[in-house]
Amino acid sequence: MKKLLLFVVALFIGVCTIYAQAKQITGTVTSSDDGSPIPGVSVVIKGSSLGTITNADGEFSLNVPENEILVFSFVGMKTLEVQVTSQTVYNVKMENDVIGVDEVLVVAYGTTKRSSYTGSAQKVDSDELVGVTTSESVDKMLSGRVSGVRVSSTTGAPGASGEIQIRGVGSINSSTTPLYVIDGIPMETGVFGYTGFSSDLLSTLNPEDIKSITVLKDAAAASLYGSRAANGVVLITTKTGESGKTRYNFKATVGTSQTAMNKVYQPMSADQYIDYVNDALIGAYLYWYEPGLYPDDPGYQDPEVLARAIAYAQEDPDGGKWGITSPSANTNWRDVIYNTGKSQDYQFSSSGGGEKTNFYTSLGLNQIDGIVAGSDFTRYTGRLNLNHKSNDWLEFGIKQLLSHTNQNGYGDQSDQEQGIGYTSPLSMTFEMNPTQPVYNEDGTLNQNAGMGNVNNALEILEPSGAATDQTYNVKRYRSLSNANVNMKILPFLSLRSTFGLDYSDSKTFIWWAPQSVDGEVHNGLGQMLTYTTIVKNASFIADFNKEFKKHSVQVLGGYEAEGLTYKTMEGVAENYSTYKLPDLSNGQELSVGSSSSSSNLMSFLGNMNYNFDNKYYVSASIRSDGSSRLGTNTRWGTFWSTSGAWRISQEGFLSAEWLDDFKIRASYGTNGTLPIDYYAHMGLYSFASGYGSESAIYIIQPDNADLSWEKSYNMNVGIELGLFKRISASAEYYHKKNKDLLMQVPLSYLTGFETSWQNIGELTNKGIEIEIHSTNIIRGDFKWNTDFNFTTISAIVDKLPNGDEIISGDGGMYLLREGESINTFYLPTYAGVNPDNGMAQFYLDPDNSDELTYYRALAKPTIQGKAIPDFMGGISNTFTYKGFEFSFLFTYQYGGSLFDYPGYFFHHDGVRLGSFNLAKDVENNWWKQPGDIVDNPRPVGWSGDRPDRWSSRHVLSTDHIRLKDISLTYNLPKSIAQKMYMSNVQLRVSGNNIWTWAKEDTIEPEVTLNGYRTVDTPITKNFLFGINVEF
Amino acid sequence: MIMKRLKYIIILGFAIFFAGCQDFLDQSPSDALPTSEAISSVTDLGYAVNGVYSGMIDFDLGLGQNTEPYSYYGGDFIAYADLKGGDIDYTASNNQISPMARFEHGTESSFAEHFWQIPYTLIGRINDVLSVVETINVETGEEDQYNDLKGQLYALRALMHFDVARLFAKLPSTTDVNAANSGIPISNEKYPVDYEPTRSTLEQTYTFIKNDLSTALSLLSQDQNLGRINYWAAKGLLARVHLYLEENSEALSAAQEVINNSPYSLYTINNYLNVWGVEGASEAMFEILTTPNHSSQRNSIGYYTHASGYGECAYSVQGYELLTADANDIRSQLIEWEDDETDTQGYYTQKYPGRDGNLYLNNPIVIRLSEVYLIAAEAKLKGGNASGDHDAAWYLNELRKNRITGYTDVASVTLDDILTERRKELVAEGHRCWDAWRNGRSVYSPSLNQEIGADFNRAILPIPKRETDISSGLEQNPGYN
Repeated sequence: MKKLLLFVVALFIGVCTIYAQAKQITGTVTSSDDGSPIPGVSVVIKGSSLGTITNADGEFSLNVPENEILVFSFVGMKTLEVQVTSQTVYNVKMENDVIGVDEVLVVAYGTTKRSSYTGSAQKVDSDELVGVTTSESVDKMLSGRVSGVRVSSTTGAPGASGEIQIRGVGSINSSTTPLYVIDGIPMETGVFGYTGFSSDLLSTLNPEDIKSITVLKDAAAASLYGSRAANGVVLITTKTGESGKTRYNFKATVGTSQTAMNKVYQPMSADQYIDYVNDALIGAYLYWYEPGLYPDDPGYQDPEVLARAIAYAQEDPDGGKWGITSPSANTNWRDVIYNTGKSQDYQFSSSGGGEKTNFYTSLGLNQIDGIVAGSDFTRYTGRLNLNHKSNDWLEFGIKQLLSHTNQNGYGDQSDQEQGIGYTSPLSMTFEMNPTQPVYNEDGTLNQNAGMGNVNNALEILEPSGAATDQTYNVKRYRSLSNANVNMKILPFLSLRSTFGLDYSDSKTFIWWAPQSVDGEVHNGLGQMLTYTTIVKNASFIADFNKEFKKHSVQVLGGYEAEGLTYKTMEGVAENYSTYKLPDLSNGQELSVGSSSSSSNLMSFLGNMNYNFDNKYYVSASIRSDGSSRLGTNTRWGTFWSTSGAWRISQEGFLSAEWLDDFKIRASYGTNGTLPIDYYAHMGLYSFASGYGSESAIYIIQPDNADLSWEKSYNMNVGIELGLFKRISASAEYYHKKNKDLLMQVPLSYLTGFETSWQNIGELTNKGIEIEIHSTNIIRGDFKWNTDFNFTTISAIVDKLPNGDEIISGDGGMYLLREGESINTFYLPTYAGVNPDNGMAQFYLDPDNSDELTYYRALAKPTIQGKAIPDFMGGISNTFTYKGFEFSFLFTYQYGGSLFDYPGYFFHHDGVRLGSFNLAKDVENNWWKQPGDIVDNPRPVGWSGDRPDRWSSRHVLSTDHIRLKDISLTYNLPKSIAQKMYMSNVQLRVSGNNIWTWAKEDTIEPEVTLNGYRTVDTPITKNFLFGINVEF
Repeated sequence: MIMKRLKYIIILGFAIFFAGCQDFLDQSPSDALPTSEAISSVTDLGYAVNGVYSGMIDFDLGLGQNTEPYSYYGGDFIAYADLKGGDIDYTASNNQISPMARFEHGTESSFAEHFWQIPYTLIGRINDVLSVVETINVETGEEDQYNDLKGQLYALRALMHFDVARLFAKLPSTTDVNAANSGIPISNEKYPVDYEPTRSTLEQTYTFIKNDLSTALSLLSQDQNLGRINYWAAKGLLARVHLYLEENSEALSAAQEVINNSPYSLYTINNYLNVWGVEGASEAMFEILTTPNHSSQRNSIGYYTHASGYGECAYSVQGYELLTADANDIRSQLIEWEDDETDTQGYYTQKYPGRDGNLYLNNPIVIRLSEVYLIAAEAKLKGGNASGDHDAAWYLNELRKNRITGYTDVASVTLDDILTERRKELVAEGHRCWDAWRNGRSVYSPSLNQEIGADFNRAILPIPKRETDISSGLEQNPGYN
């Protein structure tokens, strides 16, 4: 205590001394590039914390004594030191810093400079995000920008969820999604909607509020998030205000969208369809009525038999030849169902502040009308970020987001469950009869336009409050609040405290009117589902930071607690009295339910960074988490990492003009993943059943006190290079071993249970990542930059319970086998069509022989490919000239495949005769006579042989190159802008997914990350025009 | 100044630390109770016993997954013995229960697996309850109810072992009951998750079943109890078990007690056509409740035995001819021709008409009085003796005069007479193939177009591959690999 007092006294004396001979100085800070003033530059008296910041015009004024040194520093610029002499005016020019080396990086629990960072992290600035106004949620916007990150925007339906995986696949049964952290506080994400109608919580964030996103990839970067970081971490930082004059910004963007690839999901034309139906009916006659008559059998070509078959086909089976009347129309139902969508986005933001307080506030409206009528997404957001420095040791801030989203759409197959919903837009494209017109001559909807239960697709797509409506709607309200308090109690010790409250409420309402296709059997069905998530988070960190001589030490330690509560409520009513009133009170109660669950986490964490002379860096971190999701024996887990880096370029022996930076780094550490189920460790009795009029209870889950974390052991080595002040590049190799993966281990039924969760599985992910950022040309006003990234991915299953294979997926198309990649497809091999008789052929035992069979049910499956690509990445080029900027981003992918589930219905070989049309690639491509070499077998109506069943025919390559983003921006010259009282006016024309080359061009190559192509609206391409005004 | 700062620090620290109590990390779900809290009173015990009954009809894993319920007594088990016995045959090709009629089941057949999974899972539930039943707080006045519930658990455990033994092991009268692995795994305690079962001998299996029934009989109430097993039903089941073991005196004695003292009475010719699909009929000693929210849905016996459903269980030619041979037999009128306009049509039994127009609602009857009479007749004929018994013909006459108009008693009966009467009375109730095989007879299978005897390896089901994979000591049935 006494020492402290002494120290304080000394400080006071020191301060007084400084003030003894002070004088007033002023000056302006400008950029050495173009002479423009730089606001926000920190001007500090070296060795003290006294200083100021330049204002909006780059000016500053300060009381300084002579013989002191002024330190000018600013992000992205070289720090400048100037001796205070007898001058009173100091106008300084600051130079741009080398690309990337000293950019400030937001990392786990703090910020750092890239040069001293020993982990693997990649930053994406807000202007690099892709499709900001057309991809509702932030995860889809990282496409092609960051090495090691695999993004999928699986459907073109507005509001549907995207998926993201960092460095391979981290788990088999638990989550593979990274942790999202916003402004230092972990954020709840996920798909909350209704099974079969997805809606992403991440879409409540306004992308305009984002300043940058940092992706943390290796153990050193992510270990501080311990038990939730095995899949990587995505840090989102929102904009803050800057002191100076208040600035206003208004941005408007409008756009149109269409399907990205025109050949995807094209149905057959009417003429071809009529011909196909005819052949299929002939085939049906021969199969069913002359049983056993296959093309190989004698008598097959008997003209009498053929005549009978043709006569049968000419009849009107089912009265009306399957809805083919004559004369027949030729309707392309794809054009009817997939139209042009539109989008609009309006953003208003303002930021500013004084010396002590600064703020950023924004209001945003984003509206997307999908390419399918009746599907849309609207988001309203408001944000206020406020920061206040009450004195030089206390600072606090508040960040508040309020967001409301409204999404309308159709049931989708996001859960990858069986079946093609016959009221989904894609299904209707093929269920509608191409020989029927959309409207009758009198202008009314043609009620015979469909082959199945749906009379006319437009009845479903344009709900009109009629008795045939089917609507799906999700409304969501979210409040995301963060508060932080920073106290600098000593120059080298600061304490930080954060509090977060995330409240979100999603309400889904599904209405099937009494005469609608799905609602008829219930006489009307209304379902209301509510999900409420409340997350409370508090953390308390002490940060010690000291530099002495050439050593620099930072030690961080702290405590964090998080509580997550999740409540659901649902009500379902049927038997409605009228179709005009969809609210549940107008029907009879069918079921009611509610539940709540919670998951809590408590943690202790610590981190140490040390560097010597900015040349040698060492870091270590440790975190101990206790989670309520785990068994009492294994409740606490400890995660740690160590890493080091060596900036060789700083060494005397390796300094060269052209080498700005050469750093090698390595890290090794552990992360974890929690079980998805909050209560998997407890023995539980279910109360959900009944017997007669009484309750019935029974045990459903055995005790599992040893249930533990999934663990990942990450090793990362990398090199970072800066060359010629123009190029920064990095290459990394990572090796992640995921162990103790939770798997359902089968138990003997005598235990009373079918399976129990055990930590047993193992996976290995490894790959190489390369990133190159280069400024190729800077000449006068012209600049050309290129950014390139390349990633290889390999995710191999190492261990499964008992070494057994596990087959999963509807139809058993996914295989888990030790030594093979995860998401491997396992199906019989299709051997094409026999030209002599038109039969589909399959390999009986593809691993062992070449023998063929006509019967798919006898064919043994083998490995057909995997969903995970061998490599992928992106390349973007930006050209700047005076006020113009032109940039384009290509993404590419090679070596992966998808499973074409919808394609199975649209290449049905006659099995679904009378229910579905076929895909356009079947046109002129089916077997008609001996000698034909075609892709599709002879059609046999309702064939019992089922040649259409899943086989390698449905596993297709996803190799593609796509022009993901292209834009041309023009900033009006400042002089013109100023005449309009604006400080900047920018016009922008851009497009997404404009051009695609795909190895298989009749399928959309971007699919869900596990390769399953769902029955959903395909991805869209967008054309946008926008204007951005600052004043 | 530092002190002030320190104060802030400490306040801040505590604010967060309050959250750090250890039970912060103990959380429980809202729709399930931890096993230590679920059963603490006799009422809870009643609900737990209900949990076993409900699984016999509407078995689901209870984890909130939306799957079609598998069925045991709800439909599949009831249809099994008649389909294999050849009096019921499938007409429609819906591929639901019909593979049973074709004896089509390999070690990976899902039907075989469900017939193992459901009874053993339910036995697991029983064992779990029995492991805590002694710790329940029994208030005064609840002792009888408590004992009755305990008795129900033992009786159900015996019944399920008996069912599994008939499905997966040979019948005791057809083979050496002391041969190793001739029986089924006995499940009589709460096992750890890595348990690997092995088979007992048939002798041990049936002794276990009889012991559980005896324990049950000492605890069960003699009152009628709709939807639950009672003393009389357990006694009747014990009679059935003794009959299968050819312990004829014991069988006769048990059957006699039920016939003489139970509150049940035979259906008459007048009411025979109306007692089906009705709850609490006069002969029903133990039926399992079905309700609109809990039934086997499309796997229920009503859905199998009508053309408007799956329609897979219609009379075969031999079954139809047997039932309609005597026009005076009221049972010949419990048949209808049904046709649903597609490929499902045939003569269907009307034992499962459903309630309120809903085919899913048919309470399966596990044991009824007619069977007890038939057990007595057979046991007496085979040489059994019990006090107060009658000769074999008497039992058959008692039954027949309530079925055939203008019936005159017969003086003596043969074993074939009794077996034929069993076929007529108990058709579509789950007995046919076992009745024939345990008596050394064969049945004619229309699907396989041959006579099938107890020595046919597919007369019994294969142990599911999943179980033999988990437990290396579990011996598979002959002829299956």
